[in-house]
Amino acid sequence: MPAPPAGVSAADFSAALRKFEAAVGEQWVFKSDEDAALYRDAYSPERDEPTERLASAAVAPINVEQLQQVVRIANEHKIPLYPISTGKNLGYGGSAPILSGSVVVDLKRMNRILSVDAGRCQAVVEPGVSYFDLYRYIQERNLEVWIDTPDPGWGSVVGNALDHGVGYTYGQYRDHFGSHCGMEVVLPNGELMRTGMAALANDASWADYKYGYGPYVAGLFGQANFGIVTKMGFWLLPRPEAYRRGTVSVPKRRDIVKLVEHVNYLENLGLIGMPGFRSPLGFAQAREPELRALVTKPGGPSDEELDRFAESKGLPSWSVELQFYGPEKTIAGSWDYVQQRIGSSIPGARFEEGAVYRFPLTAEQQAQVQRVHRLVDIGVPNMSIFAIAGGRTPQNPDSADGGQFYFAPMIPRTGEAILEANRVLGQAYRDAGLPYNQYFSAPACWHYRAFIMITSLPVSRLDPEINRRSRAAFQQIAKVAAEHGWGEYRSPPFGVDLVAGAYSFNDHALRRFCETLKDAVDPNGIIAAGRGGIWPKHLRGSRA
Amino acid sequence: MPNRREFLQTGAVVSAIALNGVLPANGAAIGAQPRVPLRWALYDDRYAEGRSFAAAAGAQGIATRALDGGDITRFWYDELDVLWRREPAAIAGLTQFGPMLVIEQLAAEARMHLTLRGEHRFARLATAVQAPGPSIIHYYTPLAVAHGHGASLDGPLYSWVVAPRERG
Repeated sequence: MPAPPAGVSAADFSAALRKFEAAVGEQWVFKSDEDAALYRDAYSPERDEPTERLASAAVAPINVEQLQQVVRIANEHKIPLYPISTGKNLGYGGSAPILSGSVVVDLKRMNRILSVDAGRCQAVVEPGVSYFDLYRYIQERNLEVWIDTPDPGWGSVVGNALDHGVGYTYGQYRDHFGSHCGMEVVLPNGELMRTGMAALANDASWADYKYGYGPYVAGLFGQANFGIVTKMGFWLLPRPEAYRRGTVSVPKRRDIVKLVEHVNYLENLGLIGMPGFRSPLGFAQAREPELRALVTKPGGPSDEELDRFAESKGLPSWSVELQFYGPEKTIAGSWDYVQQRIGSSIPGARFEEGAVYRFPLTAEQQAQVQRVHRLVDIGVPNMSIFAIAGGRTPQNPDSADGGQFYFAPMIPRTGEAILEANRVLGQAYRDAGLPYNQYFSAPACWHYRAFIMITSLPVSRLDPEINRRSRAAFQQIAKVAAEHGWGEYRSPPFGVDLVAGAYSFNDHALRRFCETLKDAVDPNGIIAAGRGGIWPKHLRGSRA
Repeated sequence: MPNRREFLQTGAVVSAIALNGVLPANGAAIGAQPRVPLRWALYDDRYAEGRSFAAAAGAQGIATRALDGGDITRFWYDELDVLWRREPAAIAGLTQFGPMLVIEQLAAEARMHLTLRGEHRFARLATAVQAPGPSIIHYYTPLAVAHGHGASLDGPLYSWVVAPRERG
């Protein structure tokens, strides 16, 4: 029998577990230490330490009615619950609760695909549906829609969206929460609520129009703890006729400013999908000792020194991979336009034409795509990213046996911000004793119309000192980022208070507002304590 | 071509897994279970040790499956996901850490867990060097791979078995 959560008596805990068993069936309540261990965060940076966040037990309902019973039981006995969809949010907590001792509510058995409408390009799914599941459903029926999938694609469509997860294809589809439409939620009192058009008694357009009428409350259920989502509608991308790729390279360091302006224009107008900024000069560090000497000299290199080196090697300072989705002639015209627009604006800009695909691909073509491309760019879920695990790094030289968590600040969508972030974060990482690709880091553009200056910090299952150093670095660097107005868009569990605390306008008015709502809808504080940095009243004094 | 020590290591793992279907009662084992038939032996064919493992497993009558350049996606999507939806069948493997992690995480959904896990650090890995570069996030593009920041063969291999849990 596991230890009860803090503040819960053994008698209450035992009673609650028996009632959970009566609600969902004894075989779906997981009480042993071995069972609870299945919900450990595989990438926990607190592994085996006293602060590691661990579930006390888990319960797996199969439908909404069972879940409602679980929530009512939890309220009766004041058992903290922590819902997970498929629990694959590695790097941001995985399947482990933020409040140690919580009972995990495993929604994996609630895995129905309720509808996929290819004509209206929408789907409604339950939390246990993974991207692989939805993709398989669509492929088996040859529906002409795409999903936008994260990398890897093993996670939950609902869960990823609720954590503001992101993807790789076109426009707003990459914003997974933003492209949801209508949800159903079990509230902390066990009541069932729907949002948007789904709140109509006889809804006919659940996944067409997201706002319904009145306040848009759906946002309260993303990165928050006001209820447990049991269904979500999503907008899907229509399968395009074709896809093409092109790379633009620019010679000088400060060309990034104009390059970003152009790319922003193209994305804002809907002409391109996700841009992929890189520094070819940065990639050259591994093989160019002269460049390594430049970037490590006291005071660092000037823009002119880097430009001279780049020119001497014939290397561009920056490049961006552009993706185009749509009718073949249209996207060919868009690529022509890109070359004309940027070529007439940035001296020395070069253009490289990439792959062109027409859909649907044959199996052989898809296999070829995988060898030269990222499958996620064309909406195909995969786990290829795990094939690159295995290498030692200077940060984690002892073993490949670990993982990582992410420091993911949002910076302004400008080239100047990229250069500034490189300077500031490079210094912050140095101060924290960790290496950073200081002069050549580029943001990820997973979120539509946003720059995420993301880096990963190593986690080890073997060496707690690596984890301690990574946690300390995160805390230090996050503070520096906040001082510059760069808040994170997601957080690993140990960082939720720090990250939420940066959004401190007007004496933390946002957090105080959320706490007021929390006290009103979840007075016993049973749902996902700590999620989004929102704690129930009885835990606010000291974070448990 | 693996040296004799590496081959013996691989052989020992395979023997432990394949000959008896029973987990070795030593410190490397996680838990203990009665005889468990193995449906597949998964291996990374980029490594000589992986190919040796597959040959030995095959000789024991275990069906083998190679990863796609270290990538577990196709095996998972086409075969393992289909199998585990029907029944919780045990499998074994000799892979890098990533595929083992994937199996471990997906097995948990099917109420299965790692019952054997061994790490193998072969002599050729002792002098690993990687220069600081872009974060792992940016590694995964053809451009990054072309610049030497992609898939790495420099890491330990892991032998493992995943099997159904006995409810306590």
